[in-house]
Amino acid sequence: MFQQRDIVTAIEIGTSKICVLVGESTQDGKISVIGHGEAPSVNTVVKGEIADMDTALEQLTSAIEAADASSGREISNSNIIAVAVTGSSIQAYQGTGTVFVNSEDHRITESEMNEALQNAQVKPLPFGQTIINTFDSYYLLDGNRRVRNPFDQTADKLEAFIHVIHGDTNRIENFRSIMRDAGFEHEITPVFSGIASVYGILTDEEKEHGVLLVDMGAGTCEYMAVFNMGILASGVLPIGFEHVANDLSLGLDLHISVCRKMLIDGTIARHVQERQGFLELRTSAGNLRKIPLSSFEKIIDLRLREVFQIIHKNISDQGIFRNLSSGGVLTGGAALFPRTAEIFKSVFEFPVRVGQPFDASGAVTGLENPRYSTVWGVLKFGEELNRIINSRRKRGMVGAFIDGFDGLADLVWRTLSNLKHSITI
Amino acid sequence: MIETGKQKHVKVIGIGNSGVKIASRLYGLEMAGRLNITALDTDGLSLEQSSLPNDKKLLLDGGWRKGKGCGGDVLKGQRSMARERGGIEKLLDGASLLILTGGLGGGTATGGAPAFAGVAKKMEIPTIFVMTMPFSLEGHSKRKIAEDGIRELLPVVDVLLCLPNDLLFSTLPADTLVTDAFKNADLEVARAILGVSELVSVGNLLPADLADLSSVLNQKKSVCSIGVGVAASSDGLNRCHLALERMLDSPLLGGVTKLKEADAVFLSLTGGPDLSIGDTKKTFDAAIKFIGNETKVIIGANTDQTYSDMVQVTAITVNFDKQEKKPGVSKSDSFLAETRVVDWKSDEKSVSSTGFEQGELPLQNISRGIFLNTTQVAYDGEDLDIPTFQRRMVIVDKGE
Repeated sequence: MFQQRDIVTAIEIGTSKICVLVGESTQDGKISVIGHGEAPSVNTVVKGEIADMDTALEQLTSAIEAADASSGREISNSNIIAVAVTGSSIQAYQGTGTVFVNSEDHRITESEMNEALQNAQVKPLPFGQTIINTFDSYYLLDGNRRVRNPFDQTADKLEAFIHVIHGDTNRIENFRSIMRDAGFEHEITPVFSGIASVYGILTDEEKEHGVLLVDMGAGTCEYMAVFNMGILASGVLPIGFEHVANDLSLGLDLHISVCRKMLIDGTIARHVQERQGFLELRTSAGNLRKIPLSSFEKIIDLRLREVFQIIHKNISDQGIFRNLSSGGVLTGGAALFPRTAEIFKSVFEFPVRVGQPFDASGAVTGLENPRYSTVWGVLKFGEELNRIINSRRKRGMVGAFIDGFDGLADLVWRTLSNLKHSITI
Repeated sequence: MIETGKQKHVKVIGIGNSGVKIASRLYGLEMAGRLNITALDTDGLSLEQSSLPNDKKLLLDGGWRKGKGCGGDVLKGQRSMARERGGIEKLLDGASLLILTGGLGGGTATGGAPAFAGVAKKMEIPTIFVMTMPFSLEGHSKRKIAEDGIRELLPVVDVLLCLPNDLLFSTLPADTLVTDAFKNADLEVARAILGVSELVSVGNLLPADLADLSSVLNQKKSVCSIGVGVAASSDGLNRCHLALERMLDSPLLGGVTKLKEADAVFLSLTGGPDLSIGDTKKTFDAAIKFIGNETKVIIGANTDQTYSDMVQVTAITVNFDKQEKKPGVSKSDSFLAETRVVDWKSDEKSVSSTGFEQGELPLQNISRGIFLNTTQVAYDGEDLDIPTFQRRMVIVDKGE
């Protein structure tokens, strides 16, 4: 019998690559990847933001075409199209909303939760800023009891703490408009890259006990602090591994492409491993150049250390260090360079592991690489969103009425959907 | 099962011209028998003059430097050491503690010491670096080289003790012969090394070890000084008091007041098998009288076969930097404060003279490379697109 398939498309327009994944929800609640397309960004994306729309569109189209072909022409049936957004304009704040529980038995109902969440969102954003994602971090009952889910609890006062990620409207709109240009007519859901990686690679245990995720890609570095299934802090540094290559190129008079190649193909890492004192290179003129390995190490270490120290400062300013008992998780392309995790570990002085998609299944495999953490996370996020929307639809009129979300059209719900632990990270 | 009775294998390495001299002097001390001493230099001549047996001295990087030394060039020292990495590993194999000594300000020691620290760190050997700071009469440039060297060393070593050479001469009369003065200086540093090595060797009576020392030193930025005093029974009736007195007189300690002002003091007493509990108590009681009430005192006591008939008292004083700074951030800056505290006389001079000096121009071309045409990223007033090493004014060796 014909059955509606739940197709989700995830797209990441990154500094090094543009990647498209097509997934399908399976019966057991997991997602299987049915299509994968990838194209290099060829310098059209700088520091996570699209610099050259024309060329980016070309590359995006070819990636989408590849994914569409491999998925058996299913992209056009997508229920959800989610795209990862990042860039230096993205910021976050913690909002608080308070509600007094006036009902007779003082039990918190869903409508009070919704009211608290709405109140938490009232802080006006600066001009030209738009909300990308919103998550509930935790709830406080009577000003002192911290709970993850306040539903049905008895209390006089309910406070909701939410994490709001917002960015420059125009720059976010770029991601939407390029998707429209590429032929998607659906509503496009933006997801902050850091959030996506949280979905993609963290284990439930880590999210429960507190973890700092750092996703260092070619152009940007996103960090997220997650504790008790809620997000406490997040941010973007527009510094990525391209900066390391650029530093080497400037410091050692090498061409940038040589530096990129050495970082990617493991030449430097291998020399460090073998503890060789020098790295020999043949220059374009044909001469042999000997560069002390210590120079490479010095330049790379200084840069990476600085990045992690900035993150360290941002995190410690918010005083949430004690909540990070599971340590750190490093992902993104930079995680392929072994030294990055070592420096992460030494700056923060807690255990650090390298994270990569671990539960990917389906026709397309080979996603077990830190490079694919974000796009895989976008897919998981989209699938989760799809599931929630479906469940609301099925409940029909009565279900929606009880929720207190009555009268909200599907589209409106979609934009609000990020709220409330409807989405459990 | 955990090996508990494992013999500690302490490796002492003297590096560079002054390191070789200190190593030779140390080798001459009879108590240093259990230390494994090696001297390294790029300069063949200084090794020849050393009294060490031939298997204890190694010429560094003979292939490139050809035994001619580095001539005070830190870069050359770095390169020489980089070429010898494999050799260093062999040298350190099996060591349970590395004590490295040398004079900062020269080429071989200043450039080579960080490489040593790096190798030791990789091999997971704890390190204590006992480095001397150049005499103020050696000039401002040498001091700057030494300070840069410390900046490189601080993040990689476990314990770094800087001994200002100026203090060594502070207690000598002006008409002392030059040869005697320098001999004395080397001897004092050698004694300090011996004292440190005693301090951290397994305290079989009262434990105080490397972990104690490094935990105190790592808390905050600190200035330290060392005093060592040895006395034998033949020296006089009360050898413990004599040793204590000599420790207090020790030039590297910088006077009795140092003990009173210190924030933390490590005291260790080493004696032969004949050391009595009365002696121990007497010594510590007497020593504690010199130490302020607020001071944290860590005490260790030890017996050792080689000290039969002798006692040695070692004190390491630690003064924390009064301006509280966050640990981990800008360690280097606070070190500069240290040198200021230590020899205020020379510094006053240099302050007055810098008024006429032309500032040093950075040789590096500051640039943003491929990020030239992108939105600037500013953090804390710095443009993050400019390579970190250029903003930190770190000189990078581009190779040959």
